[in-house]
Amino acid sequence: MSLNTVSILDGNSFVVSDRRGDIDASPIDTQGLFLDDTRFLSRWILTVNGIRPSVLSVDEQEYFQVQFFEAVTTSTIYVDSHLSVARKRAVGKGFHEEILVENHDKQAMDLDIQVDAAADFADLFEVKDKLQKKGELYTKATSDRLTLGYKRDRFVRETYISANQKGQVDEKGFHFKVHLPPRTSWTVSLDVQASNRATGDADRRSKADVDAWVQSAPRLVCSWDPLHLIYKRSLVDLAALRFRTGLTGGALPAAGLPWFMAVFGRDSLITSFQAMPFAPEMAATTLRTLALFQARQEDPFRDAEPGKILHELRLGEMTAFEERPHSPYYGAADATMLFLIVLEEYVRWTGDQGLARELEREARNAVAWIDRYGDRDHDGYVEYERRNKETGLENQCWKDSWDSIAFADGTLAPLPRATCELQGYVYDAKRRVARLAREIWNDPSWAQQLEREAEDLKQRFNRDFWIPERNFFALALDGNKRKVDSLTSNIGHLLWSGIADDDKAESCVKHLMSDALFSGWGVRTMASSEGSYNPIGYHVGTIWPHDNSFIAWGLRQSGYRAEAALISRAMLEAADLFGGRLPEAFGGFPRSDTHYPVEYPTACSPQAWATGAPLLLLRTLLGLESDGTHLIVDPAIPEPLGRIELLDIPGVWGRMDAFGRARAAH
Amino acid sequence: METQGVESFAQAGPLEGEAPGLAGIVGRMRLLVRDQPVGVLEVNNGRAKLVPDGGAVDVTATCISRDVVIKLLRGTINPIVMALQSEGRLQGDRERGVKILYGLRAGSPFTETSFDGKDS
Repeated sequence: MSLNTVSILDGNSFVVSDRRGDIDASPIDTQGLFLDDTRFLSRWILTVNGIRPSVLSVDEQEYFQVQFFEAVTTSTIYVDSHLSVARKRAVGKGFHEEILVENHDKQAMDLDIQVDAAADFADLFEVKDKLQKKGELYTKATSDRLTLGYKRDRFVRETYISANQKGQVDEKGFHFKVHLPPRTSWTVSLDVQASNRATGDADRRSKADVDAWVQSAPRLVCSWDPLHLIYKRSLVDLAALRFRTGLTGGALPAAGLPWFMAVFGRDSLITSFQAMPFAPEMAATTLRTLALFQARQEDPFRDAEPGKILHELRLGEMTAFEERPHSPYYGAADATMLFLIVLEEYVRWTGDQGLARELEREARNAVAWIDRYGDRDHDGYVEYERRNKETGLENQCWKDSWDSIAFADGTLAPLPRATCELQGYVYDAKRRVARLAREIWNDPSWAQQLEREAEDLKQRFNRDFWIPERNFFALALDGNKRKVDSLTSNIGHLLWSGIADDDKAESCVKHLMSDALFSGWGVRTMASSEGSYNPIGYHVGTIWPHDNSFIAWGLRQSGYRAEAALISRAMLEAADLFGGRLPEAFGGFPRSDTHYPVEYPTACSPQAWATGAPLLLLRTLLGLESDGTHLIVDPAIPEPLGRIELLDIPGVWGRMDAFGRARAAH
Repeated sequence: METQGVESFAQAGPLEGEAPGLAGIVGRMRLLVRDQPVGVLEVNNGRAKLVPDGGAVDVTATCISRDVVIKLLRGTINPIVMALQSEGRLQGDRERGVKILYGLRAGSPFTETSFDGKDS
């Protein structure tokens, strides 16, 4: 998000304004009041005697509430203003705004206070792709209410605005004539309600709700002060991103502000994994919701095949009229494996065998998808190529930008693409499902079969993806089964999944910690030695906190404790410099060149899996693992982070504490 | 838009058949065209049966027209699109309702059914 905007959010309802609190959206920017992927307010401008107040400060009190302090100035900064304005705003299903105007002068003032309002009802896809609307906008003003509306066939969305003070209401907004005696104030409360009967009521949050959420998570005690703020920020941002579909009960994480306040398979699953020791109930809701929408049939428009887990669910106009395939869209090659991985992780962490039984059918369908549809050419590897050529995603791995899968010389790899981390996820998923099959579903023969398949995959993968002349795994096999030979962060995910042979893992670790990949702040998505490298390229050089959290966790699981600690420390130091909140991605410039990590201009913030990154890093530093019965703690904490205590970690054991402190290197 | 004279889909007796997408799902869904009941869809682990209105249900699907109900039963309408276009909504156990609607999309026993001969 731009530094010049202020955002408050509540699930998939959010308001983005400038620092005055005004909304003045052009067709292609993200200011506005959004709900269910639709902009319900695109203009909201306060003027006093025709002047837009100047901002003094912004108090972002809670993620769902903000206060703007302003002064009405007429000429230069050398003339004191005697008129201040405070705007207090809280988002729910719409927002509530209280405007307080104070006369600090000894003279009375006569004021014309105007609030302009308009709505373009843009679908987020229209904002992103600069598209024109096909329906009709309308406005209705009565003595006490302004209705802004949009209609296209049966698709109707409306915004209702009302005030608690008598004023003039017309199609442009609200107008108040106020006589303000010396040293007095005037207040008006404005209610903006977004009406979307199709999806029902959104829930409203309160400070008590946030406090309860934070208090239900483990308590952190540590000697490195910034970690307190980073941890609290992560918990509060996760609370902000909680999304209730109203179908399955509970909340799952939406992917991020502003573009991705929606259910995403990959993002919700990865964030649920990261948050497992802190808020495991989030994983249960994620799994139930994704199981509910698991594809049952082939549907090329939606890139759906039986057993596949969704990529993205949207609720805007273009989805309603099937001009976009997001009802839901299934163009993710990894979400189905991640679904199985998170299911096993959740069951092992919480002991909730009931959910495993409840989702056995969906798990079997997911495994069947891997073998039947994921491996589309039956070469033994999962690969992807969109079937919806017009509006489907070209890249269906987590690096989903157009140029992310390229050879070392910068040439794009032909489709279909079998990226290496997908194979690791298959390996991991089959081993995990084998455990569920043996221990919960009472199907030992299927468990044996899955383990055999996983072992066979591992052997083939270490043969077919390894690039001996460069000593790392290929980023992918392309459509011609050639090895895509760029050095990328994807090899870190192979450590997490465990698919890499020990000797090859060791080589990968050396690459991950080399100057080409490790900037000092984190591991770059692509090494600086490669043809496509760009330190501010979305997936070809920037550093992604979630990526790093999984690389650190993988290093830790593979026995590379010092390397895991180094990445964890660097990422947490970056988080400190970002005010406790890691963005989606930041620049891949070397740390030796910059005292601060360089911001990536259009990064989402907060973004769910960046929010979850510090949580998985904490797990990495403390070496937290569940064996299905006990909490295992095996800390490896770097010197500057001192001592870390995580108290009341929830799990199958009830609540347990973990302690760790740095030790001097031997 | 049809709002008058809505007749039960199951007047001539129950309609039923195999629906593999409904495997593992059990429940009763009441079907309304606006406020007029047109039947209950009984789902029982891979089978679907349309019976006259009556008895307790888990979820109610309210559609704006008879055509939408037929599309729903035949699995030819996407449940999300149906909701976003305000053509139908679910009340009660919505999770089960969504499961049933998606299950019918994977194979409905009513694809060839002529509902009272009114649909073409």
